[in-house]
Amino acid sequence: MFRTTVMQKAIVAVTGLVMVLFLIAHLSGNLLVFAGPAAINSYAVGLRDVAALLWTVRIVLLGSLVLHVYFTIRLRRLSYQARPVSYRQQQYAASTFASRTMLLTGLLIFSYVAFHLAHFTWGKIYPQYYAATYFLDGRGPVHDVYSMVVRSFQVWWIALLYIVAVTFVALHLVHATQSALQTLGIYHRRYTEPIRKASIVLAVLLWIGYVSIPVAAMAHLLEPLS
Amino acid sequence: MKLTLHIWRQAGPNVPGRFETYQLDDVSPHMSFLEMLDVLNERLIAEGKDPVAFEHDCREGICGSCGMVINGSPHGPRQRTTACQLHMRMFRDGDELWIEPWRARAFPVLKDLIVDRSSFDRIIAAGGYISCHTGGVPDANAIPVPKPAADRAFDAAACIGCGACVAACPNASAMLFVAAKVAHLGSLPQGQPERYRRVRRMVEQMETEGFGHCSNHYECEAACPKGISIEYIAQLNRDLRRAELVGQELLP
Amino acid sequence: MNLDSKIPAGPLEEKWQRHKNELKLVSPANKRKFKILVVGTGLAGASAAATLAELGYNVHVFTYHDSPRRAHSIAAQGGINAAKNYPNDGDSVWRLFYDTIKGGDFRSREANVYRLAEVSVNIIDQCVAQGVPFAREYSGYLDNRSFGGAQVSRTFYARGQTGQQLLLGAYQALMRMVDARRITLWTREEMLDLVVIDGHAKGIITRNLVTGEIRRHAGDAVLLCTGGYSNVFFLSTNAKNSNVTAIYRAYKRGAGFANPCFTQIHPTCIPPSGEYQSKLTLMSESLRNDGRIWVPKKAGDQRPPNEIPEEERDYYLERLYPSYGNLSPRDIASRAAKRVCDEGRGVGPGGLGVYLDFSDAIKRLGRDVIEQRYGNLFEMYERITGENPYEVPMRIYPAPHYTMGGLWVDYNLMSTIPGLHVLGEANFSDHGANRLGASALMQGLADGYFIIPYTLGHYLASHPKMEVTTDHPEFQRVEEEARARLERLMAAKGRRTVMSFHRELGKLMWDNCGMSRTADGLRTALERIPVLRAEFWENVLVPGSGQELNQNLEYAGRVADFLEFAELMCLDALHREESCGGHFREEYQTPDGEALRKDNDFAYVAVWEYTGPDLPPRLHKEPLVFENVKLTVRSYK
Repeated sequence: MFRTTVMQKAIVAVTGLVMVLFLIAHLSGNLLVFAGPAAINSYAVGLRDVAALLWTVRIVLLGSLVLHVYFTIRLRRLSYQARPVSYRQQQYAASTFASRTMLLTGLLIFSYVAFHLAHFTWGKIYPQYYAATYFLDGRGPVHDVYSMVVRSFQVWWIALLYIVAVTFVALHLVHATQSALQTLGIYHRRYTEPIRKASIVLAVLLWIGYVSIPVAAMAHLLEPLS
Repeated sequence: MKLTLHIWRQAGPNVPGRFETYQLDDVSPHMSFLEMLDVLNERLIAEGKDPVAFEHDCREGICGSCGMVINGSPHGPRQRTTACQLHMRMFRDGDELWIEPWRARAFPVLKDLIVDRSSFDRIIAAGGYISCHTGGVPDANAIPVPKPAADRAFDAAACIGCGACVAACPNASAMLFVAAKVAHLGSLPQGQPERYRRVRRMVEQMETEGFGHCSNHYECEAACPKGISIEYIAQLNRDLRRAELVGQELLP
Repeated sequence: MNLDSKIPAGPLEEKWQRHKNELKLVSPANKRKFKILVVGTGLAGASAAATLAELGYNVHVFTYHDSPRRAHSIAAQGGINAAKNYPNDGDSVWRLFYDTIKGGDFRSREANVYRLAEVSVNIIDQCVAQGVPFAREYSGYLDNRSFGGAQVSRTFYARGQTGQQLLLGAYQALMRMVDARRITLWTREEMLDLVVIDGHAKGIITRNLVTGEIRRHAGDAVLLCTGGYSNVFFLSTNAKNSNVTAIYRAYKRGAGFANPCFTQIHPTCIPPSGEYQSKLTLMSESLRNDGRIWVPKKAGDQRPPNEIPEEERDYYLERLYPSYGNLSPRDIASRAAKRVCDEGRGVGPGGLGVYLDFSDAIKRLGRDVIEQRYGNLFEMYERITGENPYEVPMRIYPAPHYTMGGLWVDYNLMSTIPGLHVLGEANFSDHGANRLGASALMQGLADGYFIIPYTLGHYLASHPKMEVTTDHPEFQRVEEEARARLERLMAAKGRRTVMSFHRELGKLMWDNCGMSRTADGLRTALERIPVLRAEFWENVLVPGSGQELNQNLEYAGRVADFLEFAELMCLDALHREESCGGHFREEYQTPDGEALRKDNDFAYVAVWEYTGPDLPPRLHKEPLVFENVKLTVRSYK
C-alpha cells in the first residue's frame, strides 16, 4: 500500500500537517505567557492533569516526526539517485528558496527540537531556571513555567537560537502546507492560488507569534518573578 | 549575431562526457535554435569533425523529439516553446550558451544531446490506454462527454512526451508526464472502467524506471512546452490514494 | 507486372461488404503462428499493428524514432473527415465519396474511395472509445467544422492537434499490445531493404541506429506504413526524417510505384525566411474558414498591409472562385497564390507570400472567438515570425506537404509483390491527384484499423505457409547489398555535406517538378539529377563510422534514395501530359489558367516498374473505370 513514492509522500504530507496543527496549538499555549504567570502556569498544570491525553498527543507527535523524517530521507535518497549527473547550472522557474531547502531546514529544525526538549521539557540546559516554583491559588506550589521561559529568553544565545530555529520553521512552512495539500490531491483551479498565499500567511503569523516571546523577554516587557 | 556555445559532447552511453566550446559568428535572429545547430554541424562536418548529435524531427513543436537544456532551462528560456520552435531572436549578440542533454538516470545519454526516453513508452504500455477492441465500440455520439471534461482531458492529452518535465524537476521525477496521461483518460467517461488499475500500474512502472519523487517544486509545469498543469498531479495523487487505500477491486 | 486491382463485383455500395464476406479467414489458433512485420508507426502503422495484434497475430513493429509516438502523423492539425452527418447538413457516405473523388480530380478508384467513405464513420467511433478528446459542444456531443473542398461540416477535430490525438490513441493501443507481449517493438531501427523470396515479401533488413548493427527479420507478410516523400523537395512541411527509402527500396525489389508525380502543395504555410531554412511550417487549413486571403492589386506595392486601403486589395480567391472562396481546394488555392506572386504581387521577403487576414473575422466575431478557434496557431506563427497575427495579417505561402503517389496497391492494399502490403500515405490508393483536407488521417486509420485486418488474413490464408528463416541465402544477399551501400557512403569521404546535396536536389525539384511543371523544366531536371547523383556518390562527406549513432549516415542513405527517386518523379510528371489535381503542367491549362484534364488519354494509374540500374523504368497502366460518377471539370467557381 505504501510501496510507491506517491503514497510515501502522502505520509510525509499527513504527518507534516499534524505537526503544523501542533505548531498552532503550541503557540496558542505559549502566548499565555503574555497573560501573566498565573495563566500560563495553570495551563501547564492543566496539561499535566490530563496525562492520558498529553501522552497520546506526544506519541502521535513523536510518531509523526519519526515517519516524516524517515520517509523524507528515503525519498530524497531515491531522488539523488534519479539524477546521477547534475547540470552545470539550473535556471529555476517555479520552485522557491523554501522548496529547495526543505531538507536542510527540516534537519535543522529536527536538531533544534532535541535541544528545545532538553531545555524546556527535561530541564537539562539551565536546571536552575527549571527548578523555580510558583504558588498557584488553590493548587499550592507548582513548576514555574513563566519564569523559566522568561529567564531563559533573557539569555541572549538561547533567544537567538530560538529565533533562528523559528525562522527555519517558518521557511519550511512557506512550502510545506500548500505542498502537503497538493500531495494529498487537494487542488482547485479557483482555490489553489489563495491556498498557496494562505500557506505563506500562516507561516508568517506563526513566526511572528513564536518570535514575539523571546523578543518581549529580551526587551524586558516580560520579567521573571524572582 | 555572434555566439559562444558550450555543448555537452559524449561519444556513447558509457563514456564520460564534457563541454566543448564553439564560436558562431553569423547567426541570424530569424533562425530557429536547431537551424543554428545545423549551421554549426555543417561547419563541423566540413572541418572533418564529428557533428553534434541532437534529436529532432517535426520542428513544429509537436513530435516531442527535440529537447536540450539551454542555459539551465529545458527547451531554453522561452516558456511554452520547444527547442525547435525557439528562435535566435530570444538571444543577444555575444551571448554565451551552455547546452546540455536531459539529465536523469531514467534517460541515459546515448550520444551528445540524445537521450533514451524509452522509459516513457514502458510507462504508457503499463496502463496508459483504454482497452477497446477495434470495431467493438458504440457510436461516437452514444458517449456524450461534458465539454468541461473534454477540455480538461484535452489539456492533459496535449503532452508531447518530450521529457522536459523530468529534465526540469530537481528530483528528476516523471510525475507530470504520468499524471497527464492518468488525467487525460481518467477525466473521460470512457476511461472510468480502468481508472484505478491504470494509475496503479503506471505509477509502479514509473518507479521501476528510476525516476525521482514529486516534491511539488512545480518546475515541471513551468518547463512544459505545452503548459500542462500540476493540477493533474493532484488528480493522480487522489486517484492513487483511493486505489491504494480503498483497494482497486472495491472501487466502482 | 500484374495490375489486377481485385475490385469486387457488384454495386458500389455493396462491394466492400460483399468482399468481406468472401475473404478467407485465418483461424484464431493459427493467427499467432503468423509473424507480421510492420514498418512505421504513424496512424496507419500503429493502428494496423495494434489491431492485428488484438486479432492474435505475432506482430513486429519497426520505427526509426525513439518512440512510436513521434511519427509525423502527429503533426496533422486540422481534423479528420467522416460521413457521420451529425450536423444534419445533408452529408452521406456518397457525398464524402463524391467530394473525395472529385477533389482527387478523378484519378482514383471509385471502389477504394467509396470504401474509405464507408469506414470513415467507424473510425470516429473507434477513436472516441479510445479516449481521443475531440472537440465537443456544450451538449456533450461531438462538434464538426467545415474544411476545404466540401460544402458540409464533416470534420472532427481536437483543437489544432487532431493528428497528435489520433496518433496517441493508436500509439496507446499499440503499447497495450506491447505490454500484452503480442507486439515486439523495435525502436531506433531503420528499414534498409526488403527481402523477397520466391516472389513473396518475406522479410526486411534493418539497421539499429544506436549501435549500427544490421539485422535480418523474417516474417509471413510485410506492411509498409512509412509515409510520404515530400522531403524530396528538401523544404517541405514533413518532419526532417521523413523519407522515401522504404517504399523506394520495395520499388527496386519489384513493387510498382504509382503516380509518383502526384504531390500536394499546401497553401497555408509560413514562408521561408532565409538560406538556413531547414523546413517549412504548416498552419492548419482551418485558418481559411475565417481568414481572408489577399494581395495588393498593384505589383510591387511595398506598403505595410494595414496601410493598403480596402479597394486596393485583391481578395483573389473570393474573386476567382465565388462559391468556395477562401475554402477552395488546396491545389487551386496554392496555384492561385503562385500566380499572384509570379505577377509580382507577392508580399514579404522575396515576394513569396500572400496575406491571410483575420481583421474582418475579429471585427465580426470578436478577438476571443478567434483566439479560441486558432489561439495555438496564432501563437505558433508569432513564435516563428515574431509578428502578431491579431494585429498584422499573416503571411503564407504554399509548401510541399503530402504525396498522393506511392506504391501501387490493389483493393486489398497489397502491392505487386505478394505479401507486401502498403498502408497510409505510402500507398497511392485513395486521393487521386489531390487530397482533400482532413482526409489523410481518415485514410491512414481506415487502412490500419478497418481494411488490412480483413485483407491480410485473406492473403495469409490463400497461400501455403512458407517457413522462411533469416538463414535463407536471399537474406544474406540483401544484407550484403545493404552493407555495401553503407560502406560506399562512408568511403566516399568527399567534400560536400549530405545536406548540401539534399538542398540542391530540393531546389531543382521545386523549380522543375513543384507547383507547376513544364516539359522543358522536367527535361532539365532529368538531365541534372543523374549528374548530381553521380557527384553525390563521389563527393559526399559522411563523418564518423557505421558502428555508432551516426545521424549523417542515416541521412546520407535517405538522400541517396531521393536522388534516384526524384528521377522517377520527373519521368512520371513528364509523361502525364495533362493537368490534374496537384499535377499542373503549364502546357495544359484552360484559357483562364485552370487545370486541363485529358480524360481520354490519362484516366489511368501510371505504375512504374523498376527494370535495373541505369535502365529506364517501364510504365504500366491501370485504367480507371468510372461507373458511378460522371467525370466533370472540377469547378469551384
